[in-house]
Amino acid sequence: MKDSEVLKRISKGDERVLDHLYKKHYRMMTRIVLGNNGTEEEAKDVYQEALLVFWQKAVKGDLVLTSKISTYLYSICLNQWRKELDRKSRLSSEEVDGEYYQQHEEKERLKIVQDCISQLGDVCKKVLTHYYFDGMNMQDIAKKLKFANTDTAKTKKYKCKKKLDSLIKERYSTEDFFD
Amino acid sequence: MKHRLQEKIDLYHSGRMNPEEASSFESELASDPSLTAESDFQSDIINGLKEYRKTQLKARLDAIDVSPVWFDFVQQSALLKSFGGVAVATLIGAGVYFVSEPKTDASSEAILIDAPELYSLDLSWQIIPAEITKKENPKLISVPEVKEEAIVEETVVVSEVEEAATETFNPVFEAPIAKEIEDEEALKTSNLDNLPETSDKVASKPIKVDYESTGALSIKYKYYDGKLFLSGDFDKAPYEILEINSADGRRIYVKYLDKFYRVGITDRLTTLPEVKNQSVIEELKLLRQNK
Repeated sequence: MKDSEVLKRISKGDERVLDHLYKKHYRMMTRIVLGNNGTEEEAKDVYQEALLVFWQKAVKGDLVLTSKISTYLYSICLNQWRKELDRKSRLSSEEVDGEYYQQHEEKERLKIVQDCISQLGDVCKKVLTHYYFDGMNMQDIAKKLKFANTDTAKTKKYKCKKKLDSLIKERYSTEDFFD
Repeated sequence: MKHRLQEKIDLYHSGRMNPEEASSFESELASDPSLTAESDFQSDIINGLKEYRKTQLKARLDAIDVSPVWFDFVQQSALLKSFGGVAVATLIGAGVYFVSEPKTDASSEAILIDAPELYSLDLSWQIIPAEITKKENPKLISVPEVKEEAIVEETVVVSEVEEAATETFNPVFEAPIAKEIEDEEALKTSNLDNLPETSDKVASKPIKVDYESTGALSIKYKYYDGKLFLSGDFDKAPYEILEINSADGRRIYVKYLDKFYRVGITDRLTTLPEVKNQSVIEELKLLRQNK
């Protein structure tokens, strides 16, 4: 599959292309981490993160490639792994207690949000994640989820978001962890 | 909270604001604590949605089998490359050894045939299909082992025998060379179709053929250790393998779309070189006709 074809299919939200890219470049990309003191698990994680960064940019359609996709992915992996190594070295040399509690609170809130998302219906989940993570516009969401038109998609997104907001607000007040 | 502000918060956290708009919104946030609280709340939700989708996509990627396929493995494995190198070196070494070994060239010696009657002379030869090879791959055509020089000499002997039909003699002939047989008449007079196999010297271990049908226009190949791997557009047309075993060794050709290609030993995926030599092409055509 040519790079232009890959980009074209990703812009339509075709997730099978993600599978194709993942398998195709797995060895090359994970070798960056494995060859630089990383574990297999870290290597996989870095590559997946890099691929998802690429996916997000490509779905939005604002990616102008001046190199091959593999080269682009390689540079993201390299940067991700450098950042991770920096983070590790900082963690080993700094006092981390304050950071730990902050992270713990964030994790708690994230868990509540995720629980509430899982209570939504499939269509709501898709509309919201395509909009906020993939960065798809309403027209593409309408097309992908086979809505009658863009306005239907907008209405659906509005209602789903409202529902999610109320579910989370309810949980936040119950958990009361802002105190 | 006004709907307009909600929309702004949404655009800000979903990265849909341009830098100027974002900067202006941040000023608003700094001066309005209730707006900041709502913005933080929305930030949690949007981050949660992003994480949810990320987890979903990562689970999808985790389910993909990333164990290398054979071809990738061969290309990427340093260990296999080392083995390949050793195998090629061994092959070359063996080749040098057998080439440099002094030959007892049977084809240069005259073959005596005790023929009490002229008609008892069986000067025919036959091509014996290599059945074992064909069973392994129906596209494979195996040509029998023929002492090339023996065939040419034989055509000469036939005419001598006809001239001396009334005499009692022990005809002496040497086998002709297959390469040099281009004359249809020579084939007819010597009745080559029924000739016996003239050599048992050449090893006839069948080659193993594996192929991959791709959309590529050119055919690529690897051949080592008796294994031939072909890659090309074989959905379009089938390939044929032509194998010539002679005293000089085994020669392998591929016929594809009316063209012949020569197979050499290589462990790298290489484009098949086309045979340009007209005499070799004629020889291969002749062999195909007689298969």
